[in-house]
Amino acid sequence: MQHEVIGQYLPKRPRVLIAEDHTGVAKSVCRVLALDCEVVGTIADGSAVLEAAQRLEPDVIVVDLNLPHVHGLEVCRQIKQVKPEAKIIIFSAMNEPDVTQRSFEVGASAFVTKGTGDLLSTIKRLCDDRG
Amino acid sequence: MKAGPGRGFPRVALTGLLLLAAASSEAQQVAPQVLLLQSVDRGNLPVDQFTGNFRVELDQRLETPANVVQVVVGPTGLIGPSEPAVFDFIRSMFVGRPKPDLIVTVGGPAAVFARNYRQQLFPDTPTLLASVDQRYLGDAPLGQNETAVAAVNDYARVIDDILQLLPQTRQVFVVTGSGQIAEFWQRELQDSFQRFHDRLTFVWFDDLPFQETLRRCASLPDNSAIFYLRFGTDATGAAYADDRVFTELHARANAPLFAGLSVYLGAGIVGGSLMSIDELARTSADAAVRLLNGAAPTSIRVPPQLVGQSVFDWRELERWGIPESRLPPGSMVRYRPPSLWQQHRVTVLSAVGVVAVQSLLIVGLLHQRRARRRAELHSREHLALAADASRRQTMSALTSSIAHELGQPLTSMINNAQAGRMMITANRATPDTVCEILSDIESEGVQATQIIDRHRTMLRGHPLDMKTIDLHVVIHESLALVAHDMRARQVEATVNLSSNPCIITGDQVLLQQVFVNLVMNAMDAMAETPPARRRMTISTEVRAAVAEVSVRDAGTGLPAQIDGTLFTPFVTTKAHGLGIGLAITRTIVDAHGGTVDAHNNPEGGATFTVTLRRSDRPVKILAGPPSAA
Repeated sequence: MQHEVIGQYLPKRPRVLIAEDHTGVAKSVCRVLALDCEVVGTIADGSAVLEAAQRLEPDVIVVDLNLPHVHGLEVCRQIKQVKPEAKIIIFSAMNEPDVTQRSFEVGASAFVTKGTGDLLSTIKRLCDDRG
Repeated sequence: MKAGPGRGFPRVALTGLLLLAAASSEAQQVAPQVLLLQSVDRGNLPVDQFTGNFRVELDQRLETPANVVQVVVGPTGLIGPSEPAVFDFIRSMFVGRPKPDLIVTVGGPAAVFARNYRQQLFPDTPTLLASVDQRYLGDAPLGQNETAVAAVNDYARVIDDILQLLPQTRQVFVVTGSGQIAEFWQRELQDSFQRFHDRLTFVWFDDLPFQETLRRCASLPDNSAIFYLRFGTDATGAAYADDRVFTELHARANAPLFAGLSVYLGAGIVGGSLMSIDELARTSADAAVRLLNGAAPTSIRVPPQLVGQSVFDWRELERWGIPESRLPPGSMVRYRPPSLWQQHRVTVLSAVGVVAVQSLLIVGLLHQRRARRRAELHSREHLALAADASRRQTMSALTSSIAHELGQPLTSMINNAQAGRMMITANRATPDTVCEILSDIESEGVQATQIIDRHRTMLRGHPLDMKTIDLHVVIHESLALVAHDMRARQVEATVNLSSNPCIITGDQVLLQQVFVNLVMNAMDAMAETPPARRRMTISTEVRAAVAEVSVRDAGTGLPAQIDGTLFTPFVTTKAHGLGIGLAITRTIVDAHGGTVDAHNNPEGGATFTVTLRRSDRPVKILAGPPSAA
C-alpha cells in the first residue's frame, strides 16, 4: 500500500520501505518518518516485500512480524539472501527475548518494539553506521 | 264389628275386634282379655298413634298376644245421653263370656266413662287409665282397682314457645273443634292462658264450620299464630280426621301452626315442648303387663308424664323465617334436609378421594417441577461457572495476542502524536495536517476501546442470558477475538457465511466462547501443519429449522483413541491442555438445545459442526454489528 509522502526535508534522507499490514500503523509510521526519511513504499502482504525491496532499493526495510502469507522473519531471511547488505528493522509489538533473538538470527539489523517511539532514531543510527 | 241389633247407638262404633272367638280352647285359656276403651273414633292422631303403639308394645311384652276388644265411647262420651247405650253394649258383649282381665282407657273421656261405669260393668277387673290428661282425673283419687298413666299437658308452655320463637306475636288463634271436649278444653285453657293476656289476644275457633275455620286461618292478621289443640267435629257436628284437618290447615294458613303433642310434629306444626305419645304408650304397656301378671293396681303408681325435650320441624322454621338461635337450649331440629354428605356420601367420598389423589399428584408434580427448576438453576449456575473458568483460560491463552492486538492502535496513536509534535517543532504543521492526525488518533483510540471491551466481556463472569441474536454477528466477534492469534500462527481463515439471516435465541457471550474454542482448537490442530497449508474455513448454512456453523481445519484430524470421548471433560491430546474446552463447548450448545458434532475430513483435518435451532420470534438484533478487528 502506497502512502502519501509528507515531506522531504533532508537532502540525504534514508530511503525506507515499510512492510506493515495494519493500515493505521503504516500510516502513522509514514508520518513519523516523513520529515527525516523518504518512505519509498508501504507493503501490507509478506509475499510482496522481497520484490519491493529489490525494486525500490530502500536503505532500510521496516518489517512487521505478523505479515499475511509470509511471516516477517521469513521475509527478513529471504531479503537477506538476495540483498545481504539490506538493513532490516523488525518492528513488532512482541518483544519477547526469543523473538528478538530469532530476528537477529535471520539477519535483522535491529528490533524495535512498537509503541516505543524508537523507530526514527534507529533508522538514523543504522544509516549513520552505513555512512 | 257392628253394635248389637236393636241397641240404637249408631255413634257408638265398635272398631275393635273380638279375636279368636273360634280359636282353639287352649289358646283362649292362655290369651289375656283386654277391653280397650277409646275416647274418640279413628281419625284422632293422638289416640290412633297411642293405641297402635300400645298394642305393639303390649304384645312385645306378653308371652301370648292379648285378645284386645276396642270400644269407642264416643266424642259425646263425657256426660252425654249415649253413655248408657255404650254401657249396655259393652255389657252385652261379655254375656256368657269370660270377663276382661284388664280394662284400658285411652284419653280423658274414656277414663271418665270407665270410672263412671266400671263398678257396674266389671267391678273386679283392674283398670288402667292410660294417656289421660291429669285434668280428667280431677280431684277423685284412684280407686283400689285403678291405676293411671297420666299426662300433664302444659299448653301454656306452647304459648311460651310461640312467644320465644315469634316474640312479635299478638294474636293466638286456638283451634279446638266443637262439642263437649272442645268446651272442656276451652274452660281449662282459658285459666292457664290468663297470664298471657297482657301480651296476647286469644281467639277461639270453636264455633265454626271447618271450611270457615280454614278461610279465617288463611287470612289471619300479622303477628298471629295458630294453636291446634284438637278438632274432631266442627260446629255443624261433622267429624273430620286430624290428617285432613292438618293437611288443609297447613296448606292454607298464613300463620305458623303450633300444638302440644308429638304426633303433630311433621304434620305441619313448628314444634316446641311436646308431650310424647310414644312414651305414654310404652309406659302404659309396662303398667298393663304388670296388671295382667297379677300386680295390684294400687302397687302401680306412675308419675304423671311431663312434656319432653323441645323438638322443632326444620321445614317450618324455614317457612316462617324463624332463626334457630331463638330455639330453647338443647332443642332438637328434625326434618332437616340431608346434607350433601348424607345424601351422597359415597359420591362425596369418591370425589374427595379423587380430589385428594389429584391434589397429591399436583403437589407431587409441583414439587418435582420445583426440584427440576432448582436443578436447572443449579445447572445453569454450574454451566455459567464452568464456562467462565474455561473462557478465562482461553482468554489467558490469548493474552499475548491481546497485547499485540492492542499494541497496533496504541502504536499508531503514539506514532501520530510523535509525528504531530515533530511537525509542529519543525514548523511544518498545517491545521489540516494536525486535524488529520488528531482524527486518526481518535479513531485508533476507539479501536483500542473496542478491543478492550471485547476481551473484557469474555473475561467477565456471565450468567446465562438468552436473547434473540444474529449468529453471524457472533461469528464475526469470535473471529475478531482470535484474529491476531490466527495471524501469529500463520493460519489463513476463510469465512463463508450464508446470505440468509441466521437468527437464533441464545447467549452471545457463551456462543462466542463456543466459536473461539472451536477456532482455537482448529489452530491447535494445525500447529504441525506447514504454514502454507494452515487453512481454516468457517461457514454457516441456514436450513428451515436450524442453522449450522462449521469450522473446518487442515490439521491432524481427530485421533482414534479419543473417539467417543471428544467432548468429555479432561480428555485431551494436547500437552498443555486441560481438556475442558470442548466439554464446555458441548455443555453450552446443549444449554441452547443444540448439538455439536465432529468428524474427520476425507482430505485430512477435521470439521466441527454446531447446530442450533433458529428462532421463530420476531427479529430484534440485540448484539451489535461486527466491530473492526
